[in-house]
Amino acid sequence: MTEPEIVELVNKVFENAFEIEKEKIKPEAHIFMDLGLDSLDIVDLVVELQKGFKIEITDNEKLREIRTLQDIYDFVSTTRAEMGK
Amino acid sequence: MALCCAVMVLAENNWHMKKLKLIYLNTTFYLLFFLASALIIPTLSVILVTARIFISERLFYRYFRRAIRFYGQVVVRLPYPLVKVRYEDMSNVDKSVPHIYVCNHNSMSDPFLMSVFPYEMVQVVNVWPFSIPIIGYYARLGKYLDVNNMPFEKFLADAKTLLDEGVSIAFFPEGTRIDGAEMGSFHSGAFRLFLETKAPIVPVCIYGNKKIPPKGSMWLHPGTIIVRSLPPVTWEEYQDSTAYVVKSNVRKRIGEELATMSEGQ
Repeated sequence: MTEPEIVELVNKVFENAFEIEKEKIKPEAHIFMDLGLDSLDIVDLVVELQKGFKIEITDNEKLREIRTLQDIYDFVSTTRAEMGK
Repeated sequence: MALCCAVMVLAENNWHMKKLKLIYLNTTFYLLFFLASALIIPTLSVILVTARIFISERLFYRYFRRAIRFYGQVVVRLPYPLVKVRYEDMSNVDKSVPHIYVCNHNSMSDPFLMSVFPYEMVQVVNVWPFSIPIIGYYARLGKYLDVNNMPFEKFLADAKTLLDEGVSIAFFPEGTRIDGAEMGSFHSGAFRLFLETKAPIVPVCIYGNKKIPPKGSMWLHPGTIIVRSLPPVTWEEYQDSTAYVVKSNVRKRIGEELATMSEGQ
């Protein structure tokens, strides 16, 4: 899976599971301040990312550092690489 | 020149009148508030503690929350006629089943305004209401939920138990009072509970009390407060959605209704 494909799939998760308007979905968008997610919404985000990318997300430390959409793209990319995908 | 002087004198008189009104409102309100609290709280406490010997725990809590409602009704009426409160129920809900009430948060008066609702109800409140002497103690005793000081799993379990017992739960999902006209962002706890328990959400719009009292102050300002309950949001509409989607939609409905209420004033 290429980087643009990862970006597209993550963006789809935000569009479909969170019904966020396309215009708001930008790499620099802060998921809490700009998109209105809260710490509990991260649970749903993890479920959707695991489903979409068929990955296992267990690193809570890295998850806590996520602030922007770009952080999520990087996080998914790293997790996939660690799983040998 | 004479006209200019007359306008200035009138404006000054008006300013003095406003100030006098403010002093009168706050003096009478706080005097009556302390008197009513000193009379009602100990009297009802003695009655309830005595009754507890003869009644079940469940019945005790029902009466205890009814006592909180009575106290709320008294407090809300104290500043009348300088502060008027109007309840508008557009929800048409079945009062025999518990609901999740989701309200916007303007002022310290919000928990008092919500306590008047004619249902057995607890509120999910921030840290500060629990720190109010006596009232905070009774809120804890009435099993009001302190969402900030408990793990979410424990919160969810306690809230589910309350709903199972037929007790409605009121949330202020903004968490804290926001300065200015805009509503703050919502926390998703209420909406997660909704998806888990299927208890309908009743959106509630509280309008007109941003200055009764304003954030960071105890001064009440004259005005009219409207508390409007909207038609409920049901689980069937959102069963396949995330809590975020429910949260966004309920926030939007409250925001739109508040805008309508603002235009109507």
